Amino acid sequence: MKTGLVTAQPIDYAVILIYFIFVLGVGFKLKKNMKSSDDFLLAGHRIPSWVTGLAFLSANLGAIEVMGMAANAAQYGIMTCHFYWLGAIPAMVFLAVFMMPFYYKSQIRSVPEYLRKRFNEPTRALNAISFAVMTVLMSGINLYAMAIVFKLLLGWDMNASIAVAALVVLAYTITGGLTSSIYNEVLQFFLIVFGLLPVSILGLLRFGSWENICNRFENPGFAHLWKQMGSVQNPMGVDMIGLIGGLGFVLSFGYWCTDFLVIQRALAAEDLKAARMTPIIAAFPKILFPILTVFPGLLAVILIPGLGTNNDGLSYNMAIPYLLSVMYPNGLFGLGITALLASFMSGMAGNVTAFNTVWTYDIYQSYIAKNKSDAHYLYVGKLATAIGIIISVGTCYLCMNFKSIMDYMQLIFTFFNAPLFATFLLGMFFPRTSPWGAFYGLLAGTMAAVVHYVLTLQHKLNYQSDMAGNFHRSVVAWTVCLVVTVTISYLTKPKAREELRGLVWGINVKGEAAAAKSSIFTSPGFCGVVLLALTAYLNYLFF
Amino acid sequence: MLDVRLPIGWLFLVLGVMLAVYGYAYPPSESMLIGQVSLPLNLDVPWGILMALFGVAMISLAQMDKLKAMESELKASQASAAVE
Repeated sequence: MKTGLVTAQPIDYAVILIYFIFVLGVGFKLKKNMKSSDDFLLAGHRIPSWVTGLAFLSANLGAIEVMGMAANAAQYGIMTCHFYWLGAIPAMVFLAVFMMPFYYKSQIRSVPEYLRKRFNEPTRALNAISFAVMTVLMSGINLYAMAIVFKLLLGWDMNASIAVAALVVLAYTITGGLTSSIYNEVLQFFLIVFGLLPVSILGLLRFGSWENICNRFENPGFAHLWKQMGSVQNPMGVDMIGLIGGLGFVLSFGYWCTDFLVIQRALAAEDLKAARMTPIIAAFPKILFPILTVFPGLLAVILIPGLGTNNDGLSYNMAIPYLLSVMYPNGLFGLGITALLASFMSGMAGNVTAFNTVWTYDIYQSYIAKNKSDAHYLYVGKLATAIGIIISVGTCYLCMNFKSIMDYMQLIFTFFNAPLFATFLLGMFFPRTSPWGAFYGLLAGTMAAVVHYVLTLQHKLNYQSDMAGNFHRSVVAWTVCLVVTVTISYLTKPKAREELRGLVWGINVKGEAAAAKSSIFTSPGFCGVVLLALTAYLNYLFF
Repeated sequence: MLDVRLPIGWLFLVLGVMLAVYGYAYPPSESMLIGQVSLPLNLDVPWGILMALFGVAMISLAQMDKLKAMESELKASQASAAVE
């Protein structure tokens, strides 16, 4: 049966088959609970915080996180941890402490809906359309990554792999909606942990200590987060402005604080406290995730000669799949492959469930067919799920033209998330921001990213690496959006203070009761401080 | 609604038992390089057992919560019957 790198045994296929049975079973079991569009698209707002927290984490745990971060680590070294310890954790704390109360209390069903309440319909429409495009573009990455892994490792036909995975995701999202997607994300979280942790354990056992691993790196900068940040001559080829401004602030905060894919998980929580704790609960395991993603990438540099040469499929993207093939016995190999498969399917399902909500509520219900029955919107939501998956299959083939999935993803984020974060910051914390200021600012920020990209393609702007280019592009897009928004806001009429109640920092809803006092140890603020302290310590430890 | 810990628990229990039994029945022929030495480490068995234990823990937690919910429902119905 060997046509790929590994001779899979029946036990490996059995593990995959049993996973498929459980995933489909969850979808069908939840089917009877899907009675309204709210149940299907918003999970009925009845999911406990530990489940939404893990789903919040896992929605981001698709192909990009698992394969992309390992690939980055193999290419740039431990500096990849900046995505976690400089970017994600502070952004998740900021979301929980400052932004989630506005999202949850304004009773919005989606992020674009907040923009309608805070600004106007055109701003919402611009964001809804760009988000719908972004999610289907991102969704395809997962299918592509899955197909390439199965082709190289097991010799499976790429088209057949794509078709099977798309059909399974379609089956469980169309039956169980967002709840099914969230449940499978939690299932996938544990599969990823159990499926990939042995790689790191075996790596440590083999080399004995972190110091022994560091001694094997040809480039000593691979073992340090900050030591070589004095110039662009570090493994990532990025300067301080790009790293701190681009990755640490704009891209990370833009993704974690405004991307509806992750916010949607928190909005499904049962109450405000659960919604605020969702990013906090996700952030604790997230701090340790480099053990599962970055560390294997570093091991791959040492253990897989020729990685990154692209000979015989030896691209950086294949760091984790290759490690599974050389380190795992049959049985455990099936589990590792199933963990990857789960992350790809879950990443795709996350994008599709965010797409169907934005399409149904923010585009279809708002502009195409208003005042229809709930059953009609439930039907449209299911139809959007199927269409989203079909488009994802199309965008999957688009990804094949990019040499790195990480480049493709960061490029998309610089166009959509970077300017959007400036719009949200001004919208939530600067009452003077006017509706038209927000609209033209968002448009200008997106256009600035496009112009910057075109100039980079024409080599009129040059960077040490594609990653450095993405970081700088995001800073440009964010800054242009901020400046244009503020300028136009002072030239146009802002919304009356009364209309901003519950939407802007410092302007509360009249008669709003103070939140019930609870233990300081379970408050998002205290947990956030603990998280930031832990993150600072890790930065010091691997300085 | 379905408690998510049940499918997680059962999946890990089934997969864990499968891995452990397979590893016991078909130990790998090649030894694993650990440090400077090769050891006959059969990873399927301990990892399978760990997964199965995790599965049992998840199922138990779900069952305990179910029992607690039934108990509080019973107490509530007894209290309302006493009032009437």
